[in-house]
Amino acid sequence: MNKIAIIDDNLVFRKVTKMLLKKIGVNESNILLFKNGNEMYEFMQSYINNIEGLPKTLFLDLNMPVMDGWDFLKLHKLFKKKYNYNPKIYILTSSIDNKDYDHAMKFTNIEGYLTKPINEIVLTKIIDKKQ
Amino acid sequence: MVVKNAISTMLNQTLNNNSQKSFFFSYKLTAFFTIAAALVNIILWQTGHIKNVFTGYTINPNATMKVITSLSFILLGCCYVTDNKTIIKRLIICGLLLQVGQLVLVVTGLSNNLGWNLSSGATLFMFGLVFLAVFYIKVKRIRIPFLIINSILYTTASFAVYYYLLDMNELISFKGFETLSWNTSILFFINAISLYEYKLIKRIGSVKLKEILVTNTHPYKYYPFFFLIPIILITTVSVLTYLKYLTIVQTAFFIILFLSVSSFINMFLYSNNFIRFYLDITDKASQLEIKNKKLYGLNLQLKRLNKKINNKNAYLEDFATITSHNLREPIVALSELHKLTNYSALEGTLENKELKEMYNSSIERLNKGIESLIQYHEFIKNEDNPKKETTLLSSSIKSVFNELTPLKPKGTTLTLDIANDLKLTKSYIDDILTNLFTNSFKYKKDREDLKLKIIAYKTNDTYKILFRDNGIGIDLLKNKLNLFKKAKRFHQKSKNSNGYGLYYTKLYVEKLNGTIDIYSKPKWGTALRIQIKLSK
Repeated sequence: MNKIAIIDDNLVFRKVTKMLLKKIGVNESNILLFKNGNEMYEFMQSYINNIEGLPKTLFLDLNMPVMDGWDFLKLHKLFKKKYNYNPKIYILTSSIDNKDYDHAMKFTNIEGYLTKPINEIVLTKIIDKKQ
Repeated sequence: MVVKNAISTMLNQTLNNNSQKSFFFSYKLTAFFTIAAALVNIILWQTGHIKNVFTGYTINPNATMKVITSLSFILLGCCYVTDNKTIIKRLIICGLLLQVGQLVLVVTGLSNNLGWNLSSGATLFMFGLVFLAVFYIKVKRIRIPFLIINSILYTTASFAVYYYLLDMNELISFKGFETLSWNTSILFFINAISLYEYKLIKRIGSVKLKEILVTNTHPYKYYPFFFLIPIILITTVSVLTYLKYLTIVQTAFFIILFLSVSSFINMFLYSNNFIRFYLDITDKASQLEIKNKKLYGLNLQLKRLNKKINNKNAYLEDFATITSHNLREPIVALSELHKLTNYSALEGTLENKELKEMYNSSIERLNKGIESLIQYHEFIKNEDNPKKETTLLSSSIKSVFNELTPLKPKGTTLTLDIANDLKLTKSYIDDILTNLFTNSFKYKKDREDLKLKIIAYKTNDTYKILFRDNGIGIDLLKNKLNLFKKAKRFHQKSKNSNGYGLYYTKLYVEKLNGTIDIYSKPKWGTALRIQIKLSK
């Protein structure tokens, strides 16, 4: 089964998203947790020889310390070009600010924009679509 | 002022009407003269009275106005009557063909066998000129060729008219002038003047005079007379001379008198009334300038107001952003935490310690969010407060540093080096210093005492405040562009900050009419420089 990454600085949201994924039948061992964009990016860099081993679905928070969602998206663009890594990236944020949404729509490498809180129905659709 | 405007409008209207409808334009008189004289001439030839009536025959039997010349003049006269370009073009072509035909007859020598006389060489030449002049003014509307051609016509015609009066015998000895009749010369002469006038009417007609205050002295009111008077005078004097009522000497006297009087009138009008006319224009221009200045002032006020509104809008947007980012997240997190607790309880994976930690951090975040809202509200409130309390930089540093004692890490030292003290808006400088101090407290190195240093001094027109700490520092290469942006956090350590510190600092520095820049290196610490422009 494909791996799924949750990138969020807030422990609550990491746990909740993980719990929901487990509920809809995702194996716990396939769920990877990262505290910010930088952690995820470093993880990606350690897999450049094994791109297939990287998660195929990313849930990305926007507002994070060290490296926020925006900066991660920019870096991912470059990484994607170089190593052909094309995961489905879903923005998962608590922001209901239109400016964030508009800004996100400028990125071509995202698959969707979700607002917290999310539920099993939304997640099922995403995971089913993928498989 | 209103009355003056009304009068000037009225005047303008009458003037415009005059220029379009005036019956006194000399070209109308000329058209009438030309056609009438030509018709009379043809009738006289037909009825055999040519010798008895005034036609030029009495002066020189060889130089009587010919029928074919009369026909050409009728064509010319018709050109004044209409403004239809195609008709005028046809008239001109007919007129020119008549002249060319006569030329062909002369050149081929066929002229001797005709039962009637041809126009003189000078007449043919002048017809060529006058038709071309009409073409350039009424059909093509090109100025320069018209002026050149009409000037040659005017010179040739006036030469013939005056020479005829002074010494007829010598004139008719010139080639081409042998059979030129005196009447013909006069008709060409007045036609040339009228064409000049026609040109002027067209030019003035295209000027919009509404913006200029027109007085009675405006040349617009009397310029037709400049053309009418010489035509009437020259024709009258010449006819009188011709009929022997005036001697040649008297005629010469009248013409010279007229020339001198008209030069005098010109001098007077140009020097006196034209100056008045230009004074009116200058007056108008200066009024416009004053209006312009007023407008500029209003515009400036509007711009300031606009800027204020824009600022307000930006603040509102910021407010929304803060709410969306800093308040919504912890609230959603708390409600999610509740679900998580229930789920974990069911699963039996509930870990009390972790749960407590999550609650704590969510509540902490909520606290920070509210704090940033309050801080922002404080900022906007100060913005609107016209009376701003000021304080000296040194006393602000002392009071803020004391206020922050509970947050101060142990062993923190502050060195001050203030060469010139400066009075600043209290709320702004207090907030700037609070932000700088708390940042330094937060990002101090774990195993080193925090050392802070503030240097302040004045140069020509700027006041500089340098703030330096020996904290963990920021990697500027990575973060430079984001430094003063909203909601950016650079350290994992900054978990509990809202990311608005430096953003606020920048806003407040800008309120003090200053700029802020930063120098920082990981492990070296951070230095901030605030430069405030001093108003003189």
